[in-house]
Amino acid sequence: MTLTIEAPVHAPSTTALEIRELRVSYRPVHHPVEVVHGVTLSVSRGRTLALVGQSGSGKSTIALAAAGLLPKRGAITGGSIALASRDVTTFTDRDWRPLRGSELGFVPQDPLSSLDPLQTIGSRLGAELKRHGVPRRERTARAIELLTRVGIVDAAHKLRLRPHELSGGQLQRVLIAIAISGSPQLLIADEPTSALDVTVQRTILDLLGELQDELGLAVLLITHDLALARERADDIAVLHEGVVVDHGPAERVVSHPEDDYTRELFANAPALSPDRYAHLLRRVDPSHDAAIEVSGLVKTFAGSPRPAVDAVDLRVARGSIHALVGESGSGKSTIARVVAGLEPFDGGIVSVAGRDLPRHPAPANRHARRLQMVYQNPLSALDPRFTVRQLLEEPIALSTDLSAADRAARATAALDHVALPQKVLGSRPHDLSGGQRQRVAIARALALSPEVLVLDEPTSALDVTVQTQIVDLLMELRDRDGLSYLFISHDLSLVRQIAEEVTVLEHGRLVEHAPTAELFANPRDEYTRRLIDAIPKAP
Amino acid sequence: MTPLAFIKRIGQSLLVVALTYVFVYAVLFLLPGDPIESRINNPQNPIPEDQAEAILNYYRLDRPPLEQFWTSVTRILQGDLGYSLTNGRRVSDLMAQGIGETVTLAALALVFAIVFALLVALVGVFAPWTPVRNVVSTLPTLAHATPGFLIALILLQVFAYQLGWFSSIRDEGFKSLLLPAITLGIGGSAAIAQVLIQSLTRAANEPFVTVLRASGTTPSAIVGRHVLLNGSIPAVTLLGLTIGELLAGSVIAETIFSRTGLGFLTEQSVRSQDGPVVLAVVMFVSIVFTSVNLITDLIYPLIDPRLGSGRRRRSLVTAGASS
Amino acid sequence: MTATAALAPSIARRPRVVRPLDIAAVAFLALLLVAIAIPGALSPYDPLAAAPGQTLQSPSLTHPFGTDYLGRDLFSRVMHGTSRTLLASAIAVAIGLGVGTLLGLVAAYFGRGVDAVISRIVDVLLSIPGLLLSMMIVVALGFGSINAAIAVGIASVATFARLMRSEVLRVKALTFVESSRHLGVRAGRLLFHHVLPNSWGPVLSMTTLQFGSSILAIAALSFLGYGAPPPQPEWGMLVSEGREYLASSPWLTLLPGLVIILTVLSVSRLSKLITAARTGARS
Repeated sequence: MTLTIEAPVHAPSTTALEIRELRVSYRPVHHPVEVVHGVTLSVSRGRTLALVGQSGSGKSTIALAAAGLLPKRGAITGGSIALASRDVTTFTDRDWRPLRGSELGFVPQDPLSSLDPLQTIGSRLGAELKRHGVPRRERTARAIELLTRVGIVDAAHKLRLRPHELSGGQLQRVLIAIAISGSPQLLIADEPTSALDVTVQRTILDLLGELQDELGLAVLLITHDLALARERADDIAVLHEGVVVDHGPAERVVSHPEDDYTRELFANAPALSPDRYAHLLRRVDPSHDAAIEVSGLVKTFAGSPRPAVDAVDLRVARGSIHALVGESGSGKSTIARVVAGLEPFDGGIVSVAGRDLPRHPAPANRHARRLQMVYQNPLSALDPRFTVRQLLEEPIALSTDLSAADRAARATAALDHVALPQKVLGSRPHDLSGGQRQRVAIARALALSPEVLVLDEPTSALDVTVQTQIVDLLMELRDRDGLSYLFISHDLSLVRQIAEEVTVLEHGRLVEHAPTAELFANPRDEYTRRLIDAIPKAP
Repeated sequence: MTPLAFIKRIGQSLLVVALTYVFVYAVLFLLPGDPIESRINNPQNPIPEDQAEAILNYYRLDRPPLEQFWTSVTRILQGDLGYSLTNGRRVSDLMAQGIGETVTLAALALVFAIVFALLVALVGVFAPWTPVRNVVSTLPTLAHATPGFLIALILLQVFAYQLGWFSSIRDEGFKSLLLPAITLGIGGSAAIAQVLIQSLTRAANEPFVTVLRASGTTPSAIVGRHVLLNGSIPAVTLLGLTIGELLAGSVIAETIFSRTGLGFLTEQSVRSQDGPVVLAVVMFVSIVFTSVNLITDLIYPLIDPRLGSGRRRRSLVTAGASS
Repeated sequence: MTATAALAPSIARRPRVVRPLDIAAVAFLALLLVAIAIPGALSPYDPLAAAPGQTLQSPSLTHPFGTDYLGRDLFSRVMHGTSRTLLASAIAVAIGLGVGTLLGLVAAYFGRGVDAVISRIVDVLLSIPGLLLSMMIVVALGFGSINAAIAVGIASVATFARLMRSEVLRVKALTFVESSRHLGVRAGRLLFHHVLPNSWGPVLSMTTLQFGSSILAIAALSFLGYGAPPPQPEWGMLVSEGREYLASSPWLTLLPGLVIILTVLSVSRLSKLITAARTGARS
């Protein structure tokens, strides 16, 4: 089913968006800070430009500026933006209004909070269609047509629902429907899939591709995911601290980056360097002792009809790296917490380093010296009032009665162990970078010399370059200290890089488990296959 | 909310009401220094001798305290609230006399409070001129810092004495309710306005507002419909508290504006340490407060869809995901 | 994280610009402290000295606040009333803070049954509006400044208890507390080194706010006549005394009232300063 494309009022141009020497500044309190320093880009109809960069690079700012959605404190302080040859640099909100939806569509990042929670989908779409001049009696039919086109099943029923009754993927489809309802020429998508599950990401991106072909859309795709950019974009522009450092056809930028930063960025992307740690990985010997052994684990949260973990078996061999993968709701974090003794469980046996865990963990952790946890967000895992010295000395002081001098010496050694400079001892978590914080958290976890580390998405909250550094450190520590890792992740490309064995979970149930190479080469289950397919690949 | 949770919540409220009665009774009647006897036998008491005798018998002061307490409970459940120690009249009669007046006053005051709060919050957050926003945003703080009795006196001075729009002596029917209601409304609006300012600001910065802008929705529609509705929801939790404060504030408002409702009754009975009447009034206000809180707690999930049944959360945090 | 969000930490770290209003607030409070310490310093007249020839004079250079119906200098009466009102408020806050935070902490620390019992107690106290609760207690204890202070204090116990409980529960559930516990840190150390230091902040802000509320509550009680008996001056009572002369001599009510307003505003500004200093420094 195709949508009718309204004939454009002015002569159609192939360049939908033209940005020249753009400068954008924010005025937080008194003096303005420039965050975009002279960026030049263009996007043509029928082509996708991926604007790639890490957090703070300014990519979202450029997207917002191009869409006329800068917040009050932001302003274009130099250069120009032209939408289909119309200069919009100095447009006010009122000037923008006729263009919205008809020239330009915007797809936001977080579908869960991008719709008024009190408004039904039908009402929202209806308002949209009204703005595009659709007469009242046709609106419901057009709304159903739109929703069906973006892949929503049972569209008529969905019109009566409110956002909290739909899933993330469905909401994003609704938002895309809203964005294209006016048959725009340009679509600006700001990290449209970052907040979605991996398998859903693929379907949304496929949808965007289809719509692009059908409507001849120019697409400006903002993303931090380099592999995604390579797979989906025709052109890539790499943004670093407000400046475009590389720009050109996707293939060229990826295979022959013209800039050191770009080169490093692509080298760090897990999906683009699957064999980075191949020399450090070992084949798991099944006769080895188990560092963690779980059989028939069952856990149901109070008030929930279905178990969060349903009879899962897991075996982490001593000294190995075992990855536990799944999408949200798979139970992987729950299993991690049960194994760490942070949650009670309802059935099955869990043993760590040979000792069985009680169903209800004691308030004081008796297994602290055997197993420690590394959390996803180090900022919340470290007491904001403590200095790094205090944070390190806290577990050290627990071991034996050491003199103050000994404790200080051990703290220093712990910092060396994670390659942190001594000068951070006096800093608090807020003063450190994300990577430094995670290093401190790891040092804390290792202070008691545990045998096993449970790592719950330890790099998900970090930029890709920092991510690589932390993973490098973890690999090194594994060998140096003879650790075993239970590594929780949703990122299969990372898992492919670093895991020796993988267990796949879906909705609390064990799907399959196998040595990594085998799993990726010959996945036995349909779900595993879909997960692997979702990883962006080379064209 | 599950039926079990529903019943539990109601049970909790009933428990609180019962415990409150025990507490108030204990404070008023079980502390040393026999309040009832000394009040009745006070030579200045206007109650005739035989009636005083009857009241003393009624309160059975010779029985142990626990039995006295239990008697009072059984009596209340039958609608018998006892007798005033200052004039011997039935407490239930005194209450019935004043309740209509005070409830009307409180209801009108509530309307004023909500209207003032909305005006202040909307102007304070959305007015296009920064100085206006800044000044208006400080109004709730000012209103909060001004004691209710002072607001009442200032209004009285300006509108009754200076301008002569209202009489301070005669009862002019509905018109006489206005000044006390505005007084209480100003006081009650302070907290609501502060909450509204915060929640409206938060709602205005939600991602869905950006998407509405991207769709070309006019600012007035964004504020008037989407932000206002979403941003007002947290203020609903203040309803019970506000009503309680308004009822309590009627003590001062009725005293200053010479009205004869429950507030006036309370003031008199505290002054003459008339335990049974104070007990009845306090329990009345407490029951109203607890009931309103119960109702808002029960319907809040229906208003705020985010608290509704089974939210599926996609809690993925990915690298650099929000730039 | 948008570019603006990236700037946020550096802004938060910048100390709050001290505005003229902040200075005015602190100065006013300092003035009041002087009034408490040496009431005679600012007001040469005896607050109780009646001067029959000089009744109801409007404010002038000799009598900055005018005189009341007995010829007493109003400014002196207000200054002497400062200590009574503010000290009573301080006692009230001390009671609320001491008893309330203890209750809240116990409820949050022990949980379950203990929490349920304490929460019901707090519910009971909250179900009676502050003014009525303090009036009720005054009925039982009798009139007077100290009793009024106790009454207001008891009325504020519930507020502190609820805040402390919710803060402790919030912090207890934070990841870093779990992380330390997982490392093997003992319960006692967890409480005193991690939970309490991170929960007392909002309680401190609340304390200053409650000080302001207590001043208003004490003033309301003394306005109604339940505070110290005349002729001892108390702010609320001064307003009440002037009530009969509202039409002819409005300054008798308005000026003491103004002092009340300025005091509460200054306290509230002080509270904001403390909060800003606390959160700003922490970022």
